[in-house]
Amino acid sequence: MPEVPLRMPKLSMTMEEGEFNSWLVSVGDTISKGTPVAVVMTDKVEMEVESTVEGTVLKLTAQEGDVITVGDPLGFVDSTSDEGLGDLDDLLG
Amino acid sequence: MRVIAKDPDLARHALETMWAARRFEEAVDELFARGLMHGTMHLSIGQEASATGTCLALRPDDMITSTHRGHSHCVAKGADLVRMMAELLARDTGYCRGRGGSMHIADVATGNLGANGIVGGGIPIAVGAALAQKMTNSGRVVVSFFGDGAANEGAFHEAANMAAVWHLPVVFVCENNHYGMSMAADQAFAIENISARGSAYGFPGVTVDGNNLQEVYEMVSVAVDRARAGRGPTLVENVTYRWKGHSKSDKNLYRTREEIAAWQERDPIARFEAEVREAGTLTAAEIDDARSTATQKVRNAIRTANAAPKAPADRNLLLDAVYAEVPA
Amino acid sequence: MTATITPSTSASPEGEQELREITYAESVRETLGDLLEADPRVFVMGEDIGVYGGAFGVTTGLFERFGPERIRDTPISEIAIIGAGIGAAITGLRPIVELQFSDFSACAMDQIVNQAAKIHFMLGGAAEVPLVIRAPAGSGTGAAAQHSQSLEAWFAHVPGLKVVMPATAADVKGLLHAAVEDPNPVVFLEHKLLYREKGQVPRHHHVPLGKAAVRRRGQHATIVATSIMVGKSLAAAEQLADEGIEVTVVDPRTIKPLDTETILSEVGATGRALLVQEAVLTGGFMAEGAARIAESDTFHRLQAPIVRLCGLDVPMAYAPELEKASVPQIPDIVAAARQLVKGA
Repeated sequence: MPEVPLRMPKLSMTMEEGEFNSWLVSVGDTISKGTPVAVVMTDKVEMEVESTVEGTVLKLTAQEGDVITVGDPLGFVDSTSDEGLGDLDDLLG
Repeated sequence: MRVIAKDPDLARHALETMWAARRFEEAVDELFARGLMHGTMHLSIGQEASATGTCLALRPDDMITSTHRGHSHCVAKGADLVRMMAELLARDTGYCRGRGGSMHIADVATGNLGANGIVGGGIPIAVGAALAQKMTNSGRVVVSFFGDGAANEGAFHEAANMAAVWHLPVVFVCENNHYGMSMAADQAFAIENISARGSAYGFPGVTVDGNNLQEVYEMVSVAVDRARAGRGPTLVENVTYRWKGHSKSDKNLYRTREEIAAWQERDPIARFEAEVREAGTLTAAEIDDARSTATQKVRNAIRTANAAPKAPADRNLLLDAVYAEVPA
Repeated sequence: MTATITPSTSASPEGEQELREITYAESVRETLGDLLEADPRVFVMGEDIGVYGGAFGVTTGLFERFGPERIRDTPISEIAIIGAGIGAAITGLRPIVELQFSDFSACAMDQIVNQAAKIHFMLGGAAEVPLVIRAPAGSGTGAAAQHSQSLEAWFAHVPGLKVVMPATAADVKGLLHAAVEDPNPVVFLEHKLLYREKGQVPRHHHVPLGKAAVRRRGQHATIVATSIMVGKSLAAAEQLADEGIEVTVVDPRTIKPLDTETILSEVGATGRALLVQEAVLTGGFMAEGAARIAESDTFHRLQAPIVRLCGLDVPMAYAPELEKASVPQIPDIVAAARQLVKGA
């Protein structure tokens, strides 16, 4: 099953990085698209990060206080969904 | 009146169109989240039946004007996904050569006169295009897409009235997704149905379940026929819902997760698929195939668009792009 | 490079033609008629332009000749008027829309600025907006603050618009032809007080956009003036000549795109620049003119600071004396030129 990253999302027009706050899920949890998985801080506001994939939580690499660039991984999911758009990584060579 | 779910070709086309719109928006959502798209995006996920049902009622040479939330209108009107994606990725091969972005995509060749970054801004333009069709007896009709928010802009009122007094071949399609930006429609209107504003200007208005492809298709078809017959405008209010926030900066503080989830249960695409399955028009495999074909097209668009050269930051090119060249 | 003098009674490039003495308004009317006859794509749209003949009588008689489809009265809906003009222009027609007063452009600014001006650029060249927006501008009729403005600077500041200010009956004909032929949106500002001014006008005339006219040449100073200030400057020039002061008068005709080359050349030749407009001083278009002179090599040929003579930074008052006092008059131009040349 493919290992898919959960990434720090761009949550506003000007956001370039966010500060990781906390995880809302644990390793082994089953999540689906849209499940809130973490809380991050940007522009002094706390925002929820939603999962973009369906599957089982594999690794949670981000820790409280980490400043992570938009697009970089926060954790990894063992993805089960082949119903959606699919992984975009190969398309973005 | 054709029943789309019962016609194999139309059903397939409708499914591919709605899935293309859905997948396109999902792609934009993800690419934006990865920091690969500039600006902001106004996603129409959840509103696919409104766009598709409306455009199914149009001839290829009919026209539309669209909104800031216009990707699904564009797809439904037959746009090239690669050129759309390229525009959002700021490539030189985009519809606007990187100069317009999401809110200004147009495909004049397929009758899409353009999305618009100003709420209500395209409505008077649609009326003008309709005026030209009437004056030249072209037989073509113009659909003006706009949202509930736009129905309170002066531009809507002036344009609606002008279309009414001149019996112009325009169909006003109001996609009422219950929220302007963050203002709920029931706070922005003292009336129950926006369609009542048709009669305020002297033409018919009808409120439709915007997530019911067949209903949208039927009501817009009636309106298009009216317009083409020279009997003037109609207001079709497609009641629908957007799953995502207004823009990418929207924290959805003005609505609840429960409300969003409830509307996601009423997914217009899932609903249409169920109708098609029940009618036996397409097999499950064919339905899946429509979805995966659309998915592949969007994936291909990402790959192709991403590989294209960026719009060059050439100042002279920019300056030259401002004015159309005066013919010698 | 020296431009030839183009006096107000310009002969047309089409060869010798009989000149008739007609008013600016008659010239507009005649030209609209010619355009409507020649090109079925052209139509005129605006408030009260039909049977009423237009607020200033400019379209009188056209309704009877061309009918309600092509001389199209509209409801009082500036947003829809401009917007419909845009939509018709994008889809192949050549609309000439009229704002009853240029002040009402404020009601339709989104359509003018965010739509018309930008569509060609935003769409990567996929569409053109060959729209002419005509509007009466300026003061002197006692119409007061909301009906008397000179707003050309607003439009000049928007990339994508062209802005024309015809100063003579002949030019308004020639420039209107060019404006309608232009594939871009053109804001065409006709000064209300010019409507009654007579001029020698050839039957057929074409004046390209973006080309200034040198109305008069003199060696002591260069006046650059727009619209009604051209005539006032020429009158001032006559008075100044009696005092032995000879001035050049340049009429830009189009302010966007501005014929900077001619202006720099004529200012350089005299070394003294007097920029005259009716519009208010602050942020007015002559500030742009002054900047273009000052930032060019012509700067080194200046013998005195550039002088701007403009409207007062006030809304236009109602009372006739107040109205006159708010904008440059002939004595003001004479005094300013004298001061510029003689320092007194």
